[in-house]
Order: sequence, then structure tokens, then C-alpha cells
Amino acid sequence: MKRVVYLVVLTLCLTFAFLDHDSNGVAYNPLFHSHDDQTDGASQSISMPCGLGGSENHKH
Amino acid sequence: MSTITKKIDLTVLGYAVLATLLFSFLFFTQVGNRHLYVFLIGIGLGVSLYHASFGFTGGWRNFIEHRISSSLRAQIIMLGLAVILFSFFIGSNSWIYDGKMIGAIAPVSVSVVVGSFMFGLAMQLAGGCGSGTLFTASSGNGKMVITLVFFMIGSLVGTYHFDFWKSLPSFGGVSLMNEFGKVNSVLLQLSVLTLLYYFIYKSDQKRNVNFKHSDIFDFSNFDLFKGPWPLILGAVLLVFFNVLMLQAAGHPWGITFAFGLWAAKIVQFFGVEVSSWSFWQLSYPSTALENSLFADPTTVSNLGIIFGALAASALAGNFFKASLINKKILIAAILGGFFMGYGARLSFGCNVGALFSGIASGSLHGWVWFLFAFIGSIIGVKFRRVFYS
Repeated sequence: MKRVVYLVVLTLCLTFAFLDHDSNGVAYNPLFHSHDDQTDGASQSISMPCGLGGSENHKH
Repeated sequence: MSTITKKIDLTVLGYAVLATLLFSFLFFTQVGNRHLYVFLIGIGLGVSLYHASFGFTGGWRNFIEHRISSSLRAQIIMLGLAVILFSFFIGSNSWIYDGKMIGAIAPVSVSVVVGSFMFGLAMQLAGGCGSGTLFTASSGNGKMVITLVFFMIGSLVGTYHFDFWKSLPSFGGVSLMNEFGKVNSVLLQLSVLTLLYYFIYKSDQKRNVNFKHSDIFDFSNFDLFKGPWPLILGAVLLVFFNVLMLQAAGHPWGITFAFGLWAAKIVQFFGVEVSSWSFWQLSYPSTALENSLFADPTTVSNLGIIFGALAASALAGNFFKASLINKKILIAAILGGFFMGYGARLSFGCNVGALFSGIASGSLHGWVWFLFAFIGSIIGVKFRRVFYS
């Protein structure tokens, strides 16, 4: 029974993600951006999901 | 020696396989082929994490409490391998797409010191780190599901307090590759890792008479489909998949950014104006918030880890293994999850994004994270006794 509840909850979470996908779409795909266009050109400081905002935060 | 053969959970395995096919199709047709690769790499990571039981929390605790070093030694070997391999690829063109790959370089700052200390302490309370929480929650561990929920909440609160933590002193990002050159950076990091390995195994050898270097290479119970896998195989595979992640996503493996994003999407659904918070106005987070969750590579790899761990636990016949949850353990899971989430936001990631990928990329913040998370864990192990006695 607990297994089924777990799978149902997981399915609900995935449904939320599907709804989000349906409503927002992929207007901008972060994997298709040109890294060098986004920063000051230093390849080591380009944005990535490291928490407080990637390259934006690396500059302070 | 008697062995108990557990039955494969076909329902759960079927669910994991169907979900994998569905999402593979979705990513390929609606998002992009690189997202499909990231998803499949996530599945490999999920299976490896589960079958090798590769977590940082228990390994650190075993060393702190009993000087048992097997897991910690496997982690050191993993870091050494990653440092060598990443040095060939960081800043080079990817095999998969037309562009350069970048390292996980983040600032060395007061927020990293506080956040990593907080994370190290909290992960001992929760009984799982960033990757550990995700793969154990995915394999049906109820306590870790609660931890994951509060991890998300903590991450979100961390983003709310972004301005304060950003205002504290910081040296900025320090790339050892940029400072000393690739070869010197690799030699320096390997020297430190070798010294660490020596100190760790000497401590173990002194305390435990049965110490063996070979324990992490033990393939005697190895079963490819059902597990367990030896720690060394887990370590090598995690490096292999992290290198593939670098090639496919353009940046190394990370986990916890997605937790904050998921929480932000949920509260936004209920009318909270998350997009007005300064963190969610930065380029990467704002892009992630405005777009589909399936466009966010960290979410995509996490989904892969979820289905990979789900399939692995079903193959092992261990899905939804009963875990004891009393009031004290529940509080530990809530506090641990919340402060891991908060700490991960302050310190630019968790044991994966900051420690593993950070050190592999030659980022000084990865080393600072390692040091202060370990100090936090030493204290966390003491606090843990209050909840798990």
C-alpha cells in the first residue's frame, strides 16, 4: 500500500512538472546559449547553477 | 555464508522504465538532444549511487566516530581521478556541442564558510547529503522524502536571504588552474589528496586492527543488476558520469540548485511573487524560473537520478524498505533538510556541486567547502546522538 502511495505522490509531482512545462514552455534553452556571450569573457567565471547566481555573484 | 535473494519489484521497475521512456521522448522531441543525454547520465548516476551506496554522510560519520575510512578513501580516490580528468576538458571544446566547457568555480567567501559548516552539521542530522537525500528518497525511504521536502524549503529561504549573504566579504572565484596553470594545479591538488589519504588510512590503521586497503575493491558480493557494487566502482562511475555531464551540459554535475527552483515554482503557483526576489532576478535563476522545469539541466539530471535509483532499488528488491520514524527522528529530518538546503544556497552547492565538481574544476571554494563541512560534521555527529539515541 505504501509503495502505491509513494508512486502516486511521485506521479503527482511529475504532473506538476508537466503542467509547468505546458504553461511556460522552453522559450530559452540554457543549454543552447553561447557561454562567451554571457559574461566578461573569462571562461572560468561563466554562469552555472552553483547557488547564488553563478557569474553574477562571482563578480562581487 | 547464507545469502538472501530478494525478489525484483516488477511494479516499481516497470514504473521506472516507463517513466524513463516517456521523459526520454519528451526531452528529445520538445527540449533538445543534450537534455536527453543529461537525463540518461542522471539515470547512470542514480543507479551508481544506489548500488554502491555512495554517500558522504555515513562515510564521514564512520571516520569521525570509529576511524573507519573505507568510504572516505573512496571519495579521495574519486576526487583525485576527477581532478586529473577534468584538467583535460575544462576550457576545451565539448565533444557533444559546439562550445567550451566550464568549471564549477564559485567565490571563496564568508557565505561559503557559514553555509558549508551548516551543511556538514545538518547532513549528519538528516542522515544524507545532497546526492544521498535524492537517491535514498527516490528509493522509497520515507524519512529522506521528508528531508527532501525541507531541503527544498531551506533552499528557497536561502534565496530569500540572498542580499544579506551577498553583502558579506568575498575573495571572488579562485580557479587554481588560472592561478598556477593546469599541470601545477593538478599536482598541487593531487599532493593534498595524497596527504589526506595517508592521514586517513593511518588513523584507521591505528584504531582498527582489521584495516585493509583492499576493502573498497571487494567484488566478492558484486551483482551488476541487484548490487551491491564496491565503493571503488561507485567512485570511478561517478567520475565517469561527471565527465560526461561536463561534455553534455557544458558544466559539471550539480544537484541542489534544482531543489530551490522546484520550491520557487511551487510557491509561485500559489501566488508568491518569487520573481521579485533579487536572487530570482539574476540571469541564470530568472531564466530557470521563467522557463519550463524541463529546460533546467539540474532538474533534468535530478529526474534521471530519481528514476535510476527507483529502478536500482526495485532490482535490488529494496524499494520502500521500512525505516523507523519516531518524533525525534522526524525533527532531525526536518532540521537537517532545512539547514542543508539553506547551507547549500550560501555555499554555492552541496557535496556534489561544491565539493566534488568544485575540487574537480580546481576551484578553491571546493576545498574551503570540504574543510568547513567536515568541521560541521564533527559537531553534527555529536548533535545526532540527541535524535538517534
